[in-house]
Amino acid sequence: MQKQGTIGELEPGMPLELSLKHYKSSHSPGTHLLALRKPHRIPESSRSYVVGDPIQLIDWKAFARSGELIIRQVQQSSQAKVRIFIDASPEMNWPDAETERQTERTLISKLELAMRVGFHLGHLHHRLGDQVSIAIHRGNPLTPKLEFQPKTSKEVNYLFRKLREYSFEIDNDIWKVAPIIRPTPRSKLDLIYYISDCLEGFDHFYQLKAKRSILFHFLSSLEASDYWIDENISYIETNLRGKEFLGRSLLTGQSYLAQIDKWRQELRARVEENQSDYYFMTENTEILEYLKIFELIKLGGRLQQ
Amino acid sequence: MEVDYSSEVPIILNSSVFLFGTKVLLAGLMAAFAIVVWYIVRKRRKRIKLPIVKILDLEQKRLPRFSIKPPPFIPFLSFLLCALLLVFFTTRPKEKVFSESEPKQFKYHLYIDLSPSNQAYVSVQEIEEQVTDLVGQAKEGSIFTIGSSISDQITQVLDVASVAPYFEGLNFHSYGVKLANQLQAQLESIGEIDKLLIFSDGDEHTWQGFNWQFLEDKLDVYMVRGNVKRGLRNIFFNDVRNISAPSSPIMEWEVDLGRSNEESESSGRLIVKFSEKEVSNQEWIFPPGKRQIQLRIALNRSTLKGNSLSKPLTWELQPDGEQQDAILVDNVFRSAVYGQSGKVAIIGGTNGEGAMTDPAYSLASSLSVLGFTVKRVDHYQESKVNITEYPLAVLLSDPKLGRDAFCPDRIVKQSAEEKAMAPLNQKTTVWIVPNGSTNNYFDLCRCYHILSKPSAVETSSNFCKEVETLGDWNLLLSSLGANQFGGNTNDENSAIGWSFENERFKILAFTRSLRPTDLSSLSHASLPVVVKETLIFQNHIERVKNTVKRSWPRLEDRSLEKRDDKEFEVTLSNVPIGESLMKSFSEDSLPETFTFSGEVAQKVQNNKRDLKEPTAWLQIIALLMLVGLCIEVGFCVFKYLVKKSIPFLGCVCIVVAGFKGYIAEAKVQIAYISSSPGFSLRSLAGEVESRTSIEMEVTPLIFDQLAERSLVHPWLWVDGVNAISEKGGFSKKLIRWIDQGGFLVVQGKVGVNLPKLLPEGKGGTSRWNAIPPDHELMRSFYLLDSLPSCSGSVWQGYQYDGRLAILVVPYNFLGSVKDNKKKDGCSDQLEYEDRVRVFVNILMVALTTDYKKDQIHLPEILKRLR
Repeated sequence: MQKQGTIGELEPGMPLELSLKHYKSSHSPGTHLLALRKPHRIPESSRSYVVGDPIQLIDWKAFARSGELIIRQVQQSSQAKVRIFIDASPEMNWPDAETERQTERTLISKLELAMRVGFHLGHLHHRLGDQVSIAIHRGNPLTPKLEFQPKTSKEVNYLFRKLREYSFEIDNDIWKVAPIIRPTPRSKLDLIYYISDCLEGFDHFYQLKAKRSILFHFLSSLEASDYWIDENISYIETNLRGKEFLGRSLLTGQSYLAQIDKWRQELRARVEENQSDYYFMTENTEILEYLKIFELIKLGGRLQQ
Repeated sequence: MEVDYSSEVPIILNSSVFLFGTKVLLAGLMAAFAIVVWYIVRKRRKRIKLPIVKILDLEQKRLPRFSIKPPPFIPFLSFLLCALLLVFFTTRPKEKVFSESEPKQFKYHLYIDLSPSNQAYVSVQEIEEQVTDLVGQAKEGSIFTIGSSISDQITQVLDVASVAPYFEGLNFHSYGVKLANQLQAQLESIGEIDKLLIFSDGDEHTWQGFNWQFLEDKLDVYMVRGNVKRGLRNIFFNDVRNISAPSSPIMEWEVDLGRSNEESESSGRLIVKFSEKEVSNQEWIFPPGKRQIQLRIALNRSTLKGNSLSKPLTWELQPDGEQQDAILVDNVFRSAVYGQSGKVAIIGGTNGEGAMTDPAYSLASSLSVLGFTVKRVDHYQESKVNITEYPLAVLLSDPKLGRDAFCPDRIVKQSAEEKAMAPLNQKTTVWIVPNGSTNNYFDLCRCYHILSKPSAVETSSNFCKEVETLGDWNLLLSSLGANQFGGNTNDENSAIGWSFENERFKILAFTRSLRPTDLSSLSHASLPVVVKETLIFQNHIERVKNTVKRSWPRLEDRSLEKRDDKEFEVTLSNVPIGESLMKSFSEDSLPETFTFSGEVAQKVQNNKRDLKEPTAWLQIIALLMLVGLCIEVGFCVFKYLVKKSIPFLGCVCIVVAGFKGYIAEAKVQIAYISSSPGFSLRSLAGEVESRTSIEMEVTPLIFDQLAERSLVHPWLWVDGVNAISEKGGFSKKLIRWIDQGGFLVVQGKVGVNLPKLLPEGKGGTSRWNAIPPDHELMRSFYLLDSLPSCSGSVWQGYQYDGRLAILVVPYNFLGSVKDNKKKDGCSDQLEYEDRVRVFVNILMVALTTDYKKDQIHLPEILKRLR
């Protein structure tokens, strides 16, 4: 089991799970936890005996210790409908080749990072028995540019490889080479992942109806830090228009980092107000931390970053 | 013609002052603008895209986006050079610089302006003298051509003697010329010339529209003008108009006279001539302060007999005193005699004399309006009229008086008699017109018959008896071959008349009366029109009309009137008003005046058209621009290669060096410096190839001495040190070869001098050693126990730069492994197998040095040693 490295190296199908027990099996048909707990031989939790419970499932040892009739029970899970939304808006395709040349660094773009994590999540959930669909959109998840529902985890791998061949450009004729792409039936979702840098806003995130919504906020490590900023270089929003700041003004009093932090906190607050989860990551986030988040999501918990 | 620029360029370089006109300024501004733009582009601050700045809420400081840095020197220098050359290239020399080189023989064209205004300044004789002087002064071999404003004909003047014939009979003409048109035609016919001399006064009329500055780029234009000869006071005709009615017997003329000077009183006489005969003589006086007067002159039309175009009225001004008038040509004015439309006889058909009673009254009025003199004859037979004297005769039928009244047989007889006497110049037009109310078609038919066929006078016209109606009359005329006149061509009965022409008469037989009545369907308004159109149809009135309307021309530009049929009018043209007014251009707008003495004449002699051939300058500028371009391109390429592609640059260097290199050997071949003849190593090569992956050449390369070619090979065998040593040690080439990685094997005894011959080692590690048992030579392929000594000498090695560089074998080892080996004491200590093994180990050391000393090999070696 490989747990070292960063999520920038993720690929679907990598053996990264923290625990193998949740692999698809008769006991674990999915990640959706049923509300009703069922008496079971496996001591997962316990409660007091209620008339009608099977007598053979009474924990006699506990009775011997405490004098109370205790029944062991388990919370069973079922197949969850999981949909992963990957934002492929133009800003996600940064840092691009020009930025790499200018900064003299080899970087992966936010889009590639989102693709790697999104497809890895899809692969994980599929192996766990969930019904997974992936939608790649250009800012509006309700009208995705590309969506598909893999039948097998191999299909996830296949499409990921195809996308990587085309440098994750969904405008290419990938439709012809990826016959597995098929429209996803609209159904009620149990879990959605929304992967985006949120630079174009994330109002659409609230329009997605699901029992549980999780926002993966991805930024490039360059955007999340200021060590690389040169005070004599101008930094522009786009090539043609938009804001432009001199590096010196960004670095003065760490105003850049302060603004980014403030923006993230505001995002988190707004997401959590809506009973959703917010996780911030860059390509330097360790795989281990990513897996912890995933495990917690699987168990219905939440990690405080 | 070959031009020697070598003598011109330094002289032109001296004229470093240039005119900075608008174009130069514009080019300079563009260059400056390009510099600014280039500077802005160069200085633009480096910008990096960072999308997340859109969420930043910082105050945007509008800092300057350009940082001032010195531009790259070489590109900027190249750019600046090109910009300066561009500015320089668009300049224009301020003044011509004439070469001091040997003058050449020039081609002159002399243009003589003989337009009327020039007469005020110079005479033809003076022009002739000037031309003669010029031809005489010119350098021998110069070519002169002469053209004048009289014609486009060019005459070549070979010497002074040939000048006078050209001017024979030459005089000022009365028509105007335009220099632009005429000189263009002349210069085109001449071809290339060097100098154009225009003998002219520079008056506005002649010089208008002549852009002589354009010619200055190709040739030198000079002007030759005379002094005022006849004063500047000129009297001329403004206009001469006929103001009388066409039919009036007295012709009244209104004459406008003008003058160019109004200061004093002028007087003189106006003489009118017709056919060289004076018909009027009147005095005129210009009061002081008046520039224009009008005269009225009445001429008796009878005095103007012999109406002909070739005989215009000639008006001549004769001022009192010779010096009063500058231009004599314009003292003569011609005007056409008009109003004489000819005579017409109207015969017969008389009922009275008033408008109400005379059926021909309206017709006579219409003809009078058209300028005809009408002769009214009531009865032809009783009168002495002869219609052949009239260009037009109208015969009106008269039922009461019969045919004798209007068309007796005498008409034809008279005509025949006159024809016999002398042929007539023109035919008589005869109109046969019905009475209208009571037509006697027989008379009309008989009249038509005898006129159209004079021989019919002697016969009777019986067929005319059958003509009783208009329809019969139309049918008859049609059948007699007459042509329908007027009406619908498909309907004979709609004809207005029928025309027929024979050798004496132009007959037009009308089918209706020419009297404005309801029957004739003619009104008083339409009758003159019908008459006029009829006369035009018969080509009778056109002559009249032209005479009436046309005035005598004033030719403004001779070159526009080149048709032969106009020659007559051109010659007798009246002088254009523009010439008579004597207005001249200012000196500034005319070419430089040419004088026949002093500096200008010398200048003309030595002048050369050195500015016509800028090729040398263009080549210099193009070369400089090319150099600038090459510098910049070379700089950019070098910068790119150095910064971006050092490996590529290295490859290029290797490839370039490869052109002078040697072919790389994929096989191992022993290079052997020896005096012994060649030998074969076939069996050894076979062993090496079978035991290792190395291919070895069967025959070694034998060199008799150390040479450049032998040092190409990575390892070298040599018998003894004598072949490779020089005085004091190894040769420098060999030392450099060893330093670069060469492996030297010395065979035989080298004695005690060996250490002295060797190069200095690096880092103090160089030393001589006997080959120890754990040396890489003993383990490089086979594990050897020992190396055989020879006569007490052992194998020695020289460690150089951490490797075995020189191996000294105490005997001829190569000789022990070659084919057909001879017995040798030292080498026989080992079996062939051992010798092969030693050779393989030496080969491996030569190729791989001490790789077997790596620790990774050590366990295996120790294991095998055990």
